[in-house]
Amino acid sequence: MISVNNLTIEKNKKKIVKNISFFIKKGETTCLSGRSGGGKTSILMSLMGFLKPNEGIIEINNLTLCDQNIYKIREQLSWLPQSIDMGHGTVYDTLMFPFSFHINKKNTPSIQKIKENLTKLKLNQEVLKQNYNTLSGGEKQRIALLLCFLLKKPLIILDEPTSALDKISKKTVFNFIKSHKNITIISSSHDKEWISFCDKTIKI
Amino acid sequence: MNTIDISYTSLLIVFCVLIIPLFILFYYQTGLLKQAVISIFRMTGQLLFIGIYLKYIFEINHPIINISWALIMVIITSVTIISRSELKQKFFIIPVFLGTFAGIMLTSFFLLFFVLKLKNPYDARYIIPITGMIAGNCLSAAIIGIRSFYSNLLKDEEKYKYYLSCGANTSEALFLFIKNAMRDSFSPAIAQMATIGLISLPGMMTGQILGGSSPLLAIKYQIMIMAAILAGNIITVHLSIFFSKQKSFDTWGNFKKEIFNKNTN
Repeated sequence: MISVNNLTIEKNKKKIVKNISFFIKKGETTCLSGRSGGGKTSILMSLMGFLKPNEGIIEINNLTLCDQNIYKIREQLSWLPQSIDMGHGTVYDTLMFPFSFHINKKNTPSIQKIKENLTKLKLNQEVLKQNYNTLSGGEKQRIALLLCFLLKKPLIILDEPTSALDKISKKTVFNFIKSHKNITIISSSHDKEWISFCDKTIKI
Repeated sequence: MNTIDISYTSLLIVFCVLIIPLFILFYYQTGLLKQAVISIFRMTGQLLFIGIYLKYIFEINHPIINISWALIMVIITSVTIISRSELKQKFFIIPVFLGTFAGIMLTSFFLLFFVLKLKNPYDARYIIPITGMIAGNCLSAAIIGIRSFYSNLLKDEEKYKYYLSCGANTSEALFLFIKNAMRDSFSPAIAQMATIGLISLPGMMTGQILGGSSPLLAIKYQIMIMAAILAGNIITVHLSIFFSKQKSFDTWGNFKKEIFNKNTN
């Protein structure tokens, strides 16, 4: 599913990722762990083509990251960013906006489906009418995670997925993720509970 | 036409009106006094120069010269939009020129050919003031719109990337940014349209009345020019963003920071 070979990334002429290689199988949940500033987020950003690798080859679902494939690759993934201020308007508007994109139209979820998933994530259904920016960090993180799964992409990229969650919410989120099969997840985190939840850890 | 002439001595008396604001700027140590005096001199010099220049243009009244003058206005408008939006001329001059050209010239020519139905649409008396009024308004709308688009994109770049990661193409990912730029740009013009005549008398209409036209004729011209200004503004802002976005992103759809004049990294 994901193959990274000798990846080197430079930022401001400084190598922040040096010769990293790894392979992730389809359906695996993987965590990139290591010290802060070690390049975990940069690797995730380069998988999505937001940081161009200086050296090395990245392949996702047999597509090599390059000019021709970049948009095809992005069509196959969804991302939970570290900063979760991605909303505009109500929570419902925030959840539905990505389904206005041509590629996602066919996967537009019903209101029933959204409500079921909110319950699974222990979120009140009334939250849909609330302004996204008024939510707490933990609520925003769960809404952003819900969107990742609603988009029905084979690959999900999670950057510090538990950073705003308390112990109870973490358990809820782990159960929610477990209930979805055949999805490949690559994440970055220092959180020990998340690391032990993942199938595999790659030290960066 | 029976407009009362203002003698140069009377014009000097006008400057007496400025003594009070200049004193207030000085008294409160606003630091604007020098800038205000320079601006007053510049405004006077520029307008006198244009007055003399236009006098000759009106006398010659040659279509090529008149169209060239309108084109110069479009070029100056484009250059000013880019510099006031803190963007680099080399990336934006062609796209913004194309947007501005379409916005100003299409609406001006529409008025000249189809509304006023002039025998000589290139007559200096019509083409120069009409393109000038539309250009002046497009300038302020485009500065607000383009500035809002690029500054919001810089501030919320993560949001743009997020939409790309959700499978959006560049246009889809930019939709909300364009929407906000349009809102910022046109809200003042729309609000002004709603209150015109009630709390403000527009300059063109006032000028025509002072020039001896009947108020009803002046109002008809004002309605025509307001409609053209709004159309010109929307075309200019939309096309300038549309054309300039081709220069603002790399082949992977990533936002290029080098388009900004100052160091934004």
